[in-house]
Amino acid sequence: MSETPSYTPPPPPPPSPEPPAWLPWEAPNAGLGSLLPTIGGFLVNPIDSFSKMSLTVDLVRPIAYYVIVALIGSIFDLIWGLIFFQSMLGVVRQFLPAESWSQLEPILRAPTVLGFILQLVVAPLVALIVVFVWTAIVHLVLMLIGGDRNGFAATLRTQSYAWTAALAQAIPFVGRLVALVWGLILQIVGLSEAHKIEGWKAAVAVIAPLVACCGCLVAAIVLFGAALVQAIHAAS
Amino acid sequence: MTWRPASRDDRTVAVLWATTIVVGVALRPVWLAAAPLLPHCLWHAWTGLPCPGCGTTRAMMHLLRLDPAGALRYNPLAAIGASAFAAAGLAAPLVAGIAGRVPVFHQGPKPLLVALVGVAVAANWIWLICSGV
Repeated sequence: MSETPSYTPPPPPPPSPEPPAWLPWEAPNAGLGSLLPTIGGFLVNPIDSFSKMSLTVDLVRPIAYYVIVALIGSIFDLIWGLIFFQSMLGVVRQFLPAESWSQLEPILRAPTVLGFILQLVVAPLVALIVVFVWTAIVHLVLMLIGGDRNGFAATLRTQSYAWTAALAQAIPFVGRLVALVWGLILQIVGLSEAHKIEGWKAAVAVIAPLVACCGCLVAAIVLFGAALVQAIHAAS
Repeated sequence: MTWRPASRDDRTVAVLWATTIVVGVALRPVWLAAAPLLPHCLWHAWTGLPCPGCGTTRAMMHLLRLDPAGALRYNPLAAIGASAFAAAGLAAPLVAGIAGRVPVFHQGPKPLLVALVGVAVAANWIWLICSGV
């Protein structure tokens, strides 16, 4: 009598490796190669990316990320300025009152290569000032409404990564407008995750200073963007 | 408000804060050249009244020219806020780096402070409207 071979089930598949619990940019020994996966994370799944953002890794890392991303955004902005200067000038002239245009025209000059290089040097410095001052204002509002659970550094980390939105300046004409809206969304999501606070508190911290101090500037940017879209539609 | 030992992050923030002030002043020619390019206030154009932020750019330009009285005339809240921010930024590395301690504020909502800030913003706005900035 022959014995039937006993059935041995196949070994269970090895457990799939868990996704890393940190941002690629913050991984130990991460280099410049981790920049693209980090940008991709904030583009595709910002909530997941902000939840992985470390609150203990050296603060220099998120700031370095911010400076690099802001510089790339500036380069795009400068390139579009070089290419489309004349057409943008035409649109501005069309929508500005004659009096304002006569004041503005003498100081508007086509960008030069030297100006381009100078702006590349100045842009990171200006970016550093902008992010720090803006973080201070947002954090002040967070403190007032009781949303500053993890301190100023957490707000600064969030703002640094939220500036990923500056890459939207790769889109000609409306890039700044897209960057503004995307940046606001990233800031709200990021602050909510970093400080573990309700979304409305994060939204108030980001939007209240804009409304109180820069309402006119925001309205100007939105109107200018809308005018550009209208002009592009009219031209096509 | 209490005090606690400064962490590595606190020291980085302090250095960054001071750097922001120093670089901001060093870039004075850039700000002075760029200020006229900023768009005019649409709120002011539509309503004839200044918005709460009107005069901030002019106040900052006066501060950069070391004219605090002129800055106060254009937007007192912005002038005081910016001066306090600059002074605290220059003091931050001394406090965090040398004294090795940083202030910790009570967490949670601060209704009294919110009311004070609200009153300050409203008073500043009334000043801007009355002075015709």
